[in-house]
Amino acid sequence: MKNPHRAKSAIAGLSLGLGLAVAALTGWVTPAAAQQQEVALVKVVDGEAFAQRAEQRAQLGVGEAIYAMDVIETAQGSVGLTFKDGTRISIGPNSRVQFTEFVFVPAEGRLSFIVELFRGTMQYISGVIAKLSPDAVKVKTPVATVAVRGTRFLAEVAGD
Amino acid sequence: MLRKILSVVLMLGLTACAGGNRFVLLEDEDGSVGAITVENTAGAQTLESPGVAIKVAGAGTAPGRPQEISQQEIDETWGTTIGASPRKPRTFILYFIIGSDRLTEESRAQLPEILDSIKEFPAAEVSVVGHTDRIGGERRNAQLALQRAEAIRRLLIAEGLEPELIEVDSHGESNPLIETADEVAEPRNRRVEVTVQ
Repeated sequence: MKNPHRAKSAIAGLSLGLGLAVAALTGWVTPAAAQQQEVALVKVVDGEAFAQRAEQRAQLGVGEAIYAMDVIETAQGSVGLTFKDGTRISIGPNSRVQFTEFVFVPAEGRLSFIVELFRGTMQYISGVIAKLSPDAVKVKTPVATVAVRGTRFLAEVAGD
Repeated sequence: MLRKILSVVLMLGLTACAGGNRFVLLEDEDGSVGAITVENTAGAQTLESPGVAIKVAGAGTAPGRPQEISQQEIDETWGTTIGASPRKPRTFILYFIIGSDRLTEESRAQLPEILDSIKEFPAAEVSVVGHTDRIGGERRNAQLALQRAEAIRRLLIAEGLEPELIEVDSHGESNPLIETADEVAEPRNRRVEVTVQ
């Protein structure tokens, strides 16, 4: 029993009704929570890849969690990640990438994904966030910002 | 002085040729093509066709005109990067008997395929989201959708899937595949979507 206007305005038909439950599961991105918020899993590692997390540097293996604000670094290696919304990002050798913001609460229409590519190469393949909110995804680099409208693209940044 | 300027121009030119900062739009795996806009304080360029690249000389220089890029050039720069891309997530839709959390015959027969698919993903994660049609009240449907998702979760665990890999959610009647008026029966909306990634 729901009025049709409300049903229409629900973003891409996603639920408003259980928004609170979803928010509780997904978590808010506050500076304190950001360190803890799991945003992706490592799915592919070729050679060595590292995550810089607060003061710690961890070598990445398949199945490991990536958290908001993690900085991923590679030298010879490469690494592939799948995010909670199905976005896939793979990072090539000699790269440095940070996941500055990841908000995935579709029931409330709260969607945002900001990636910073400081140097190196990456491939981005869009997930649900880009599908539901075309303006929510940005890839920032030292020379330009890329606004993503639901797609697959490659970036290369010379960096420092 | 002129020589100095010329050599700076030459150096910038060489840096640009070596690749530097490039953005390339590709076709999605399903053949569709989106768009990217590359923007800085000096200007912006939008890419809408695949296999086309934009170069950016620096933060203060407008992004260059879109130019075609060969597969060979793509492979040279991004071959390893593309090689590390994870497998594409897969979504299965399971249908239910009206008003119940019992699967239809056909959907029950699909379970083995889901389990096989899960094995193909390294560090698999499974999201199970329940939905209903618009017969009955909104709150009741939110519960029914959750029951449906929980029923699938139990079936997957019974088949040997580890409980911590599964995330369950309910969208009630608010996220239909097929839009209907209220109180309309629509079997295609009585479903659970299982996404494996």
